[in-house]
Amino acid sequence: MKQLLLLLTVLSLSLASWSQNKYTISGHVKDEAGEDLIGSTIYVKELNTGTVTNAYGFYSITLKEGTYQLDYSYVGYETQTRKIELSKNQNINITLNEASKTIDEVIVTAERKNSNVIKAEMSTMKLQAKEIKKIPAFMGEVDIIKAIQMMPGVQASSEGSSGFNVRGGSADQNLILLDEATVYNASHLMGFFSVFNNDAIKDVKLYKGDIPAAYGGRLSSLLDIRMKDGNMNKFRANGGIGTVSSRLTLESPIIKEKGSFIISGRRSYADLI
Amino acid sequence: MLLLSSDEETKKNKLYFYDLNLKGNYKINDKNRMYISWYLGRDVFEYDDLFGFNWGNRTFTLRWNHLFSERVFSNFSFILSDYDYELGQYSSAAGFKWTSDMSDIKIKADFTYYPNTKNMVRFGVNGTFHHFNPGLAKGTGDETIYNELKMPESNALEWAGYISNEWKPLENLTINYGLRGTIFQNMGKSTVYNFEENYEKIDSTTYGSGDIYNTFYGLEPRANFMYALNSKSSIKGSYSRTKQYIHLASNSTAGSPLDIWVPASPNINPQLADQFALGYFRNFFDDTYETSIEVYYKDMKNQIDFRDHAELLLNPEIEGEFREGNASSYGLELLVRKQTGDFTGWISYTLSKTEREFPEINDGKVYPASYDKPHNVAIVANYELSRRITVAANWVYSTGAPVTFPIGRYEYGNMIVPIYSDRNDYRMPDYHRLDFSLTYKFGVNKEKRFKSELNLSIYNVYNRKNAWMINFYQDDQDPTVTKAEKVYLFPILPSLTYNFYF
Amino acid sequence: MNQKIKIMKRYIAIILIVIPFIFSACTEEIHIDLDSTYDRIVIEGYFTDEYKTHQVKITKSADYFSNTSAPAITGATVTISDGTNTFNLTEIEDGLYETDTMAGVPGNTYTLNASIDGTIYTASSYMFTCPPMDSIGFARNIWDDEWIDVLIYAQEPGDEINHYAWRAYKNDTLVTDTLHEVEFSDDVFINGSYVNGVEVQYVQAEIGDTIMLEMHSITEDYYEYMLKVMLETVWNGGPFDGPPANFYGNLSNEALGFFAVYSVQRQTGIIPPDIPDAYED
Repeated sequence: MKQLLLLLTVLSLSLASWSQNKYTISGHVKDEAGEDLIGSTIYVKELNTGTVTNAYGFYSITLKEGTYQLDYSYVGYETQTRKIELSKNQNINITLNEASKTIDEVIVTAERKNSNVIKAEMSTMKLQAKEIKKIPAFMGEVDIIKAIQMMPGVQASSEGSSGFNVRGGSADQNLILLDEATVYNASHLMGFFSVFNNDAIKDVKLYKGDIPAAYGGRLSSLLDIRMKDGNMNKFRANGGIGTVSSRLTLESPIIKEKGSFIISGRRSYADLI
Repeated sequence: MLLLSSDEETKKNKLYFYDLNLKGNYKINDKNRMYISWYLGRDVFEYDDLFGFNWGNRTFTLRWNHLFSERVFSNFSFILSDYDYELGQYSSAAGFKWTSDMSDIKIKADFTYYPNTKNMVRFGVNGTFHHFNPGLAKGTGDETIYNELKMPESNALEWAGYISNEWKPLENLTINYGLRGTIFQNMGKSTVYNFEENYEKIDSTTYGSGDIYNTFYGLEPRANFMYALNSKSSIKGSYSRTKQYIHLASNSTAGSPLDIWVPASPNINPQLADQFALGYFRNFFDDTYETSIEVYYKDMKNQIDFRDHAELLLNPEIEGEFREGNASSYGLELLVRKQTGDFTGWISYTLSKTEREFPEINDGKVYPASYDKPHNVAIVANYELSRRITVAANWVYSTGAPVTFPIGRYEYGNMIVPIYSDRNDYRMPDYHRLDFSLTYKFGVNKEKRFKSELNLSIYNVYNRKNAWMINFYQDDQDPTVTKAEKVYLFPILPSLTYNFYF
Repeated sequence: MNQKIKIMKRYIAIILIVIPFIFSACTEEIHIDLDSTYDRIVIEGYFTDEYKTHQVKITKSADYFSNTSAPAITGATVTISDGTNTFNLTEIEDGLYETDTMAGVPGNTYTLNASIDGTIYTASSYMFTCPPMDSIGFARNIWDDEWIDVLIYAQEPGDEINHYAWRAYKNDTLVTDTLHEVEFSDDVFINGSYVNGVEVQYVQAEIGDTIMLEMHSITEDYYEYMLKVMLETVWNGGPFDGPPANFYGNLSNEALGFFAVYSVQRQTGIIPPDIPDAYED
């Protein structure tokens, strides 16, 4: 109880900077396919501060009336800058393009890509599905859990297992969420493969400590897995045929830029040989 | 895969898995958006129509994003989650079927309030209904020879409420502070066994449907700070308290699909952990290289372990097999990461120690946890040689896991019985492995819609026979001789995948 | 836990062991350096209601890779008492101590006393009565047709909790001479019922062979002890086992082994020309 009162007092004190003429810039940050970008940084140059998009790509920043330069960035994508004359609330939605390989990295030094340093978050590591795809595939299956097992502070429970131990916690102390639903057994085939089909996944974030107050129920970690939403602009398919299993993913808009779906399937066939 | 095994018996096996992910979303208007996600996965193992074993998860999420204003974002979710398995032997009168499942129904409301650039407040509530059906085994033949064996079903309600604020009092100082409150209640219909101090069952109490018979409360503060020394480096620290109300009753390092989740109850306390962490973060070469060094200390209470020779399969009195103790772990983590450019990847090194102390295990002496591996290294690298060719490699190394080995033997009933060391007094050999992959992209220069690539991956490139298990056994030919053997799982394993997109 | 559930669990254990090995897990003999531990006394004693000499074997523990027979402990003073009379055992061979020809009486509690180098190791056990068997039958095993199930027909006394063990003889030779070949069970499922042809032993035999089924009525302690021996020897080695652990029998002063007291019944049968398959009605 005392803790709660203290918390509320500190909270109200920090909010007590009531000021006049403040306006809000808000919106969504997406990629070319219409996928929400989670954790994209919005940096306000004049104030040397900024914010970050939430799990649905949404951001909101309230500033005093004035002129600002906003930089929107996300790892692996080209930063976009907007000059804003702020005199009323504005809704600014941004679409970021993947960093083109022909542009030399050195040119874009003006942007700040130091979110891992200035973000008030530690003991976490985030991987995008396309980074996970670059890791050598065990028996042809790109595997999220195998990628997690190579992060600092994380051990694989045993060879070929989908269990993992985070900072000395046992394997049942990890909260595994797939679009907010708890997954109780993340293993296929005794743990040689995980239950997550990388083609359907957008990104994966592991919290080894410093778990936000919004989450709880497990002692040692939170593995937050977000599925792709589905291409909002055009129909896309991708898949693969491998020695142990095959996969197929289809995504398409339902109404362009308003709704979309994605369907992704995978099957192993070791038995048919 | 089964081709690698030339055993005739193996060919009668069917072993496969499948999964399906489905997601849809729709933007109703600027202030409202709906998402629906669904997942289904299953593993199937069958032996020649005699045995069958299948297991899998199902999840379903329905979410509604609603913007109350430009400064207040909210999300409401309805979530279903289920894990179940079925195991059976299907031959006439000796046939039996064993099923087990657990399911959750959860509703959540989360809000984020962005009042100004110095604060971001998050708060929310959620409630989960858990249903546990740990095991029901019964005969399937017409004139079955089996009695029905049922482990007591139970339910639980888990509630949580939280509030936190990310506060930036200074340009280079950010402080997160928050509190999470949780309540866990056991609910009937259920039967709970009562045990006396030697874990022998005395009697049992039965609760009616919907009766709440036990409540646990928890208050979990969470806090961190970030102090930026300059735009390239910062110091961060955090403290968190976490509580866990359901436990996995598993006794082996290789978890099996038969493991069941057991809720905290009058017989089993919730687990508790306090974690402190401190870190130094620094970027180099225009933020191209991100590095960090973190140290942590974690103190865990009410940890679970099991008595020697615990009976965890189909045991209605399974709560009597649990033993309670403490654990602590501390370590240092180093990370160097590069995420942009042709060459990407990371190097991580962890130095750590995890110990456990249980009054009723190992005579109360401290012992290393079975995942205490002091050194752990991972090098992950990816290089785009050209527009067509990408190569990748990863190398992992870890100290061997602690294990209990025999230190003596005696004879009884014409058999050699081992005498074991203290728990986890020995170590398996160190583990290390190199994986490699090469990807070749087709149709790179053309503007065709259909693109494809061929990926060759090699697991365990230098074919190290990493020990998976070490067994000690009596020799068949000469019964006074004992030997040790190591079981290793994966030799060098190449695989070829053809990927396509259009 | 009734015996059928035990069989069910054994199937489950088999499944759990088989699955990973489908991935052609390989084994390789390795050399491991193991430490030594202090010597333990091991006492293996049997006392029954049969009219014969009863033996107690006393040995010492050894290094795990010692690769010789267990070293015998000689010169111990060993007695068995029924509360009134005390019987002295004579050392007939190194480490092997024997009573005179005598028979135990069901209903008595027998106490073993072994004095070794000044320390006394003792254990007590009650002797249960053993119900007689009406007859035995045979059926072909469903998993491996080289083996024949030996079936028992008997009335289980319902008045108390009992545990049983079975051994088999083929043509007067004991074929189940190692502990892991002995079958044992509690009576939870069958208490008080007529056991009508349940398999309790397994033999490989030809038509015309004489099979003798020997049934022991054992104590719960001994049943638990045999279970633990099996768990730490032939039933382990799978990836889903819990960590191994040491265990004791019913002897004092941390002696290993067990003093087993039980009564015995026997029944014979001859393998007929046509053996039905198991579970055929």
